[in-house]
Amino acid sequence: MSDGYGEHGQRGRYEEEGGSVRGAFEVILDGSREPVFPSVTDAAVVGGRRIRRRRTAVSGAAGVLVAAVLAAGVVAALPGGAGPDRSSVPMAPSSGRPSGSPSTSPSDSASGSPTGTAGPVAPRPSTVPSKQTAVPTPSALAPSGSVP
Amino acid sequence: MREAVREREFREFAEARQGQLRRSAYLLCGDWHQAQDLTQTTLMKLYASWGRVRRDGNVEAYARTILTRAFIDQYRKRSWREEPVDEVPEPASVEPVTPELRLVMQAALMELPPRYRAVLVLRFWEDWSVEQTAEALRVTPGTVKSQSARGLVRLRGLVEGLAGETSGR
Repeated sequence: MSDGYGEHGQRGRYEEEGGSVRGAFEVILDGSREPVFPSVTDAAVVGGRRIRRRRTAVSGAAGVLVAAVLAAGVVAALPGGAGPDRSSVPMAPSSGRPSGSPSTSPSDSASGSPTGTAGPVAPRPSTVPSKQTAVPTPSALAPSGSVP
Repeated sequence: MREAVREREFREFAEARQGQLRRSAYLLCGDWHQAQDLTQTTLMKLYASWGRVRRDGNVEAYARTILTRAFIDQYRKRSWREEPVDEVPEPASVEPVTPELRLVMQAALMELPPRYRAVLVLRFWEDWSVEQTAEALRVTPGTVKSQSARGLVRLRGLVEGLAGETSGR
């Protein structure tokens, strides 16, 4: 814990040392023989103009670059822009089925026969001969000529 | 027209202040020719931003800030470019040939690290506050206080040592 006296004492000593440093600086400068130099104002003006020109060129180039990037971003973000072609996405090929006749099973769509969902299922043609075809018809019995 | 006014104002300032700037630069680097180069660099950078600096006011402080930063940057670049040598050359400025107070002081000042030197010059030659010095050197006020105190202690030690050497001859 420092008391006020200590702080003031320290500050006073510090200022005293600062004063002696300033005196040392004056001794250094007064004792040193400064050569006669030409004015640097003209050179500073020329150099300063060069710095400004370079700075302007760099900032202009940076501005153009930023504008180009922004323009490219805006064009890419537009729906009908020249970016990825979203409108020309290829459609899935049609299955050959007439529209409006949903199928009930994959087999139906494979056979290509239009079927309804609500109606009775139509009998399929079979290769096995049915019993009804084995019943003799009158035309078939005609050669024998025997009628019961 | 506006450019001509701007240039005239700058020329007036540069002609009036370049001597003071050179003296401050000499305290920092210890060499008049290097001080002249530092002054020219400072004025060149000042002219490049003259319009803004004039608007903000306090051109003097801005010029000294540029000078100190240019000195530290230059020193840093030079120390990066330094290459190791087989034999270390004898430092002529550390041992003064004649026991003059000025040479002892200058040798002691040049012995300090450049940052300490910059703090001492800004604080005690330019009479800047801790805050102003901290802003110019881009450090905290605490750093300025500590470097200032350490710089003073080292400077005192160096002066005593160099004075003892010269009186002992």
